[in-house]
Amino acid sequence: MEKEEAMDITEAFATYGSCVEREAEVRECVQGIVKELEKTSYSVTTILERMHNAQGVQNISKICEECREELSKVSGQYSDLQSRVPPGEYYRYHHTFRATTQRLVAATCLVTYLQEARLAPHDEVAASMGLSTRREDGFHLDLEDYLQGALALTHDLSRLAINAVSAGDYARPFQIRQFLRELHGAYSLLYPKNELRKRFDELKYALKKTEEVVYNLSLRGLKPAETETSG
Amino acid sequence: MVQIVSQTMTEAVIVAKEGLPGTIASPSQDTVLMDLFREYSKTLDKKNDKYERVYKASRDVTVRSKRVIFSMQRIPGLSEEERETLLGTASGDLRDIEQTLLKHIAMELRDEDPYQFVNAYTAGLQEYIEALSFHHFLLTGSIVSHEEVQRRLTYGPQDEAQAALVPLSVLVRPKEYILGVADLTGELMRFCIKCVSTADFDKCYQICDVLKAMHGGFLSLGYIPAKELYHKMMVFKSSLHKVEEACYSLQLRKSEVPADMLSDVFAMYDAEENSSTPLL
Repeated sequence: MEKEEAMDITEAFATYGSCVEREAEVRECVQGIVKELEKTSYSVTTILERMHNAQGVQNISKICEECREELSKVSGQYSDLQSRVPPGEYYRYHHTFRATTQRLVAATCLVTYLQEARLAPHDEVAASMGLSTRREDGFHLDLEDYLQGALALTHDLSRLAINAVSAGDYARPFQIRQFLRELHGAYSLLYPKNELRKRFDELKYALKKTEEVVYNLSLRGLKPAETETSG
Repeated sequence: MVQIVSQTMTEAVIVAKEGLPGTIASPSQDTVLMDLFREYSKTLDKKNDKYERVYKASRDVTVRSKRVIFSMQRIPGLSEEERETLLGTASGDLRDIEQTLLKHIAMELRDEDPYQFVNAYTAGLQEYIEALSFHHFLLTGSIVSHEEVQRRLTYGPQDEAQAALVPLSVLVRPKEYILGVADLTGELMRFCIKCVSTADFDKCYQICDVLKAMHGGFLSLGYIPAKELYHKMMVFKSSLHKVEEACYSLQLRKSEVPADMLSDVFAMYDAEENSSTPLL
């Protein structure tokens, strides 16, 4: 009788042990692909960094095209990732690719803003990454990842506002402020928690910073006459 | 400079208060964005609310499981009859937890990815497993199996009214099971020490054997993959040590005191020292 018990417990531990092993294997595999995604993400950030240079501000459309090209790789990489994550276990491995996904969302949203002056919605960003927006479809772009990623572009924009002034582009800060205000209005509709709440605070700081730039420009009469969105 | 800052701050405050973008923006694009975010807000709230509900239920499971455990800790020293009653009540309480709170969690998790909410219910589930395995041990002298736990938390077939394709269940990962069983060791130690002072010596040796078998299980894992488990294992080691000491001194005293007087000796010790310190 006692021997049986002992067997039972050992067996339970063995099951747990093999479960941990399997998870570690999958995670390693997932991390390998995440590294590839990271590479793409970094090269996009590097390209985007150029827009803050004096020549960059004039060449934004060219920079955006380069980014789009780089970002087009992402969809293939995500389909790789998708094949590695067992069905129904998306959230088991979510944390391993979460941060990278948010960075890619941020880059995609930034490029879309620079090209079309609007916020790319959830489904559009997901589609560009080759993902669904619905959890029922298995591998998808989590709404919170999208919302957090989209907020991350605010920091870059407030930086761009300052650098645009340095480069002699006085109209851009006014446009950026307008966009950030809209974004702020939209995010105010949410009831953010935890990480999203922190990111939302960043948006407020970015907006404040951009408003300072706009104020300084207005004060010195540098407000371009043709801007309609000056407010 | 101060003026500039204060002015821009008031501007920011106004924006925050109104929660609306500047009035000059083209209204059509504006409402598209706002409509989108209203949708997002709904989805987000739905998820957060669900998480919160699961979390609340899990906390209730923890509280009630703890009560069951405490009630069973009173068993040493009670008569056979009282013991039966206590175990009976505990069994009913456990059933009740399963059929109300845990079933509620299972219903929330229906058609969801359980891993998305696992952090919300892991604590309650572990405490429940601890209570269940404690009860199971007192009844049968063995450790409840993982399959048995999962079976108890699967509600599908008996519920004809909502016979869904996917049986209703709370996912019990091996991790929660092992963590729950790791907590059980502490309860067994307490129970064993109390048994010493109430002269239920067979129980002490039995518990000691079970703990040793579990220790073997922990060792077989080798590297401990989870931080929380590592901590629990350290606690377990000291529990095992206490139980071994108790059995050792029990054996020693047996040789010098007649068996029927032994309990008085230990009762004395128990009164002098706190029962949580090892008996010497």
